[in-house]
Amino acid sequence: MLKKITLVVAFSAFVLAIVSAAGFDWKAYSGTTIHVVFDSHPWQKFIQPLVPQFERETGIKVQVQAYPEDQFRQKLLVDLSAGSTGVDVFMFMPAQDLSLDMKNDWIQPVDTYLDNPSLTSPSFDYKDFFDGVRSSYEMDGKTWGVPLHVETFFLFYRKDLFAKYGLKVPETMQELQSVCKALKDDLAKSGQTGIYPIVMRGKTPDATSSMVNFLFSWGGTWFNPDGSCALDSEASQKALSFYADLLRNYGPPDATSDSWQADTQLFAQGQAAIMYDSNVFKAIVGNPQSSKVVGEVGYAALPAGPDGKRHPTVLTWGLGINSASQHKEAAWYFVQWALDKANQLGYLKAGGPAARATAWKDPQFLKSPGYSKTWVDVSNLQYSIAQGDWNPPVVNVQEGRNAYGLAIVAAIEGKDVGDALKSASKRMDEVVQSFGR
Amino acid sequence: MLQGTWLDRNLRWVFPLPAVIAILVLVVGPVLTNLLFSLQSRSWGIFPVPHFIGFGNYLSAFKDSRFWSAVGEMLYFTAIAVPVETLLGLAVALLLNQDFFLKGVVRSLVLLPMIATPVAVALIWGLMMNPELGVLNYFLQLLGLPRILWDTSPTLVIPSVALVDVWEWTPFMALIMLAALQSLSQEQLEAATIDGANWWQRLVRIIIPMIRPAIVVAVILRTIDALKTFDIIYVMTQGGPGTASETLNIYAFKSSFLYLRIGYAASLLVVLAVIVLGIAAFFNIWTRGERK
Repeated sequence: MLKKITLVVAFSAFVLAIVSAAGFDWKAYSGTTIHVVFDSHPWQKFIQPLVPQFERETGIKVQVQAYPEDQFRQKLLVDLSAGSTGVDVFMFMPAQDLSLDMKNDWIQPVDTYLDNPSLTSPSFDYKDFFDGVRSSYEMDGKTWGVPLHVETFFLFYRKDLFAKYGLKVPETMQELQSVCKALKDDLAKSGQTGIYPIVMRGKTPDATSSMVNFLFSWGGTWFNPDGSCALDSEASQKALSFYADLLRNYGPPDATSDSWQADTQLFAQGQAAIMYDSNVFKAIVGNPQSSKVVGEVGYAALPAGPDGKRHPTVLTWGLGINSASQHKEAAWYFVQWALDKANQLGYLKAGGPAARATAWKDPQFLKSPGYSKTWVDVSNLQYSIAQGDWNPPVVNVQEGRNAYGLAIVAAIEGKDVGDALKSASKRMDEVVQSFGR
Repeated sequence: MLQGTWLDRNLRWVFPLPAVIAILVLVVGPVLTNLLFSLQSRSWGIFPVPHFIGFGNYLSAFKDSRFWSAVGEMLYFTAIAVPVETLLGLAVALLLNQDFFLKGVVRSLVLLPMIATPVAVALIWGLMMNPELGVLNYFLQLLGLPRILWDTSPTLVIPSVALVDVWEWTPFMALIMLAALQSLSQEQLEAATIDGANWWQRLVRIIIPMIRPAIVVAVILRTIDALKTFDIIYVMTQGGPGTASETLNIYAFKSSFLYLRIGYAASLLVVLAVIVLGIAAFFNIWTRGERK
């Protein structure tokens, strides 16, 4: 009996191997040309030079276009809404773009490709992507793309300055505030006026992505159970007052014009003691080519809120396929190749937080020159407890983000926090009324 | 050979046809489409479904505090940029109208800002105005003055972007006024000098009144352009900090490309066109009245 079962198992394994070997062929779409549209992003900088390798392996020609984020979004909006066939693969963020793309039928579900052994390489191993991240791409029972990266906001700090002034890494929001105060006094006493105690985002709408962790830390939410916007709640007011006071008192004077570009630049030039931003920016501040403080960068988790718990969020970018594309299979080949195990490992080694679990455990990564155990530990701690709703859960995300962003700017400028949040809330309700959730 | 044929009889219609088609497709079509969109609730895709809402977009605009603030910023920007450009342009034109060594070279150099691409100009000025790393604050410090926030301050941002506009477009004003100055007859000026008029009297009583039509044309052209300014402001501040430099044009752009409200953006642009036409018409009527 056992022998029989073994035989059957062996036989089916054999058949499967033949079927999948015969079924999947990297050269199947040789001669096709596809167009991919990228955001100018650390991942794009990593993958773009490798594209010729894909062209050699598959015979598929790839036209890559990369634009800075604003132009990238405008181009995609115009192309997708016009039903353009000139875009096959594009980068997107589920919490930013997916519900709009789905409602307008701009994005192609990928389940049929994933489930088809003649279209998906046996080594692709979709389940290798982190569970929680994969689920961000699933909506209405379908899968809408594949994650390329997963990021979370935490603290970067200057180990040398903390040691010099005898400061402890902040574990709670209150400690964060007192550390900033101590830094301000100590830096002033030692004549270091060119160093700001903390840099973080103050510009609309970018600050929304960093403020949201403070909102959740104080127990705030985007919406009330009755569906009305909850940004004018007491918790939300306390959170915003804290964030705005921190930035106004201990940040750069032009904070309301600064997003990550300015923050990472200040920190990398040694002009900030703490930076609160995404872990992906290790690629900038931990890179000897762009940073003067490489050896002194420490990483610490988002401090705990008044309830004693940390409330981080997790953001993810992925690749999607245009539903109007004429070359969907070739596009899917590109997605598979760009996010295969080797490329995800390569991206992680280059400092990017890859979305595949195996990459994080690969000995090649653990022994790579830029490896930082703290960065990995803190990132993983946050991934394990993070929420995914870093953006307002509405269809028209951009306007919702900006409504909150304007309140953040007003609060940093010292205007009344309650009034600012009331108008943000009103705007958000209006956005929901016009576009839905 | 063509005599008497259909083509010959209708030549006066056939020849302008390409131009008429071009204008219909490139000007009339888009303007009518924009008017149509301004009466609709419309987004980019099939969701939400576009439908007519009459003057709903205009009514929402008049109730939208951000619309009024955008109109205010637009007028504020124009009210700083155009008068400064006019006065500086006149001064530069008077200087360039003198005889001096290398006059031709200096005249060409002065025109350079106008030829530069506004986006490039805005990027460079943005770097120079950077509060931490910019060269403007470095010079202020050398002179013992305090650093200022330039385009990152909610109160200074409009004057800062207006400064860039002045740098770029003063040569344009100077060019038009210089052309007018060069066509002035010297006889009246000489007669005035003999009668004992000093430099200032000649300027205010003779030169300015005589080149007045040129000044008016230059002011009208610059006012229209300043009201519509997009590139300099968008590149430098994207309308920020907050909405402190968000002019009507920028708000319309954001409403459409960021906030997905094409119908609303179309209505904002109709309002912008009405304001620009209104101001141009005002200048026209005003100067016509003076000429009589």
